[in-house]
Amino acid sequence: MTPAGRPGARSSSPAERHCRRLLLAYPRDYRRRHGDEIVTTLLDVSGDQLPSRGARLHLVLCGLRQRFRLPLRPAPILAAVLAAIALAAPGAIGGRWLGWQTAENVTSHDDLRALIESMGVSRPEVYDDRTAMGGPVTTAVAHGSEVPDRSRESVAAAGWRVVSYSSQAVRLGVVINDDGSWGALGPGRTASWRATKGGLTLIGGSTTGLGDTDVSLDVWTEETAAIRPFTIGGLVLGALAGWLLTAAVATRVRRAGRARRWAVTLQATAGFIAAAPPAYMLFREFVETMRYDVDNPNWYVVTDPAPALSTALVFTGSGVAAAALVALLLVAGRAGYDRRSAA
Amino acid sequence: MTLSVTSLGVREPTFLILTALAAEPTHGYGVIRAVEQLSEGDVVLRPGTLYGALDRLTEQGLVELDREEAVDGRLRRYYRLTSDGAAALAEQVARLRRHADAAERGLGGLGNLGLAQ
Repeated sequence: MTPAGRPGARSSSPAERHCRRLLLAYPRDYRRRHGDEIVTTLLDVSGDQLPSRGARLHLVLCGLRQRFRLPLRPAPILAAVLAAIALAAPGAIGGRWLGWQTAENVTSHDDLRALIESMGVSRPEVYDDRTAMGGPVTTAVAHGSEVPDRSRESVAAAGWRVVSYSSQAVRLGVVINDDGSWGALGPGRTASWRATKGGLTLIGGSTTGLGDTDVSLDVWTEETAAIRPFTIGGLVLGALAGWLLTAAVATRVRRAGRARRWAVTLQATAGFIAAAPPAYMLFREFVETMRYDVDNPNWYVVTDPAPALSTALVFTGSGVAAAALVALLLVAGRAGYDRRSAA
Repeated sequence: MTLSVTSLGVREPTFLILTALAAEPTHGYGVIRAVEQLSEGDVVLRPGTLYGALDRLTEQGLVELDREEAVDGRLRRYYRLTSDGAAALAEQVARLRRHADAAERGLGGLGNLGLAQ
């Protein structure tokens, strides 16, 4: 290749510098092969002036299109489709996470402890959890000596709007017989309530009697308008990233030696097989997110969830897939470097 | 690699680029001007489209690099048809001629029926 157009070859005009910036829309490998001649032709067409706005936009669009271009062979196209599917899954869950950042912060552990203690029950245990569509949840359970139910007053005093409350007398029982039969039935009360505050929902329940009080509270963040669109947006972006990644790798290895192409093929195959379990689980979450019914009485309700895979399989698959991807990128990067050196 | 007419396709810009290169090895701007002249101004290629097509045609073995020149410090790269490219273009010409002949015969038939103006 001639040195034309390279830094130091000669001073470049502002129009040429602008054209070179536009070329950044193209993949690096393509710029290296055709960048200089494209700039020459652009300036020939425009008479050494800055190309028209339409010509500049067209060039950028052609460059972006080039980034998605694959060799017209079955293997790269299949790989691109699989990579798009594999990366769409984490993309969707990443988008969902971003969407949840627009939601109200869930009640803090301290505030939830204070709420339960205001009901007369001390030392609650507080946990974090996730709704069936990935939203934040804080749950608390407490057990103490018998106190009169004052949950409605405590919840209201904490700034919650109580939307439902019910309380009823019940018979409580404890197992005292060796044969497991119930005995020593006594009077008690159960109460349940639902309250809202801002974008938060609280459901709680208590059981009082036989000298004990048990209280449980769940607080979760309501869905915002951003969550499902962000989830779908992440899905699309993940798929595009998978396709672009495959196109970039295919470009680098298409003129590499047979051994290197085989290495990339094997790494990609191993990576796709290993990525299947984690991708399945992430798609499962995606489906649960999209099918989640906000009118569910409880935050954990999912309609017909697909069977879950074992955590060990998912983590192992993720690890192997990540290792295969790193190895593949190293080999592809090396192939690109060798080709540039040879040129 | 020998490509059939089907694999070459019938897209007009591709046909015109091959036609432009059939005459003599030409650089990018030369191809753009030749295509505009051949199509009597109907097809005006932009550099992005041209180099995308040249890249694809090179990959298909229909076009190859002829030479490089530096003019006023700028790279001009000349392309030429390969023998496969010439064969594919000839096939394409024959195919288009058959279609044109068929269309002409059809129009002649309309004339015989008194439907043609």
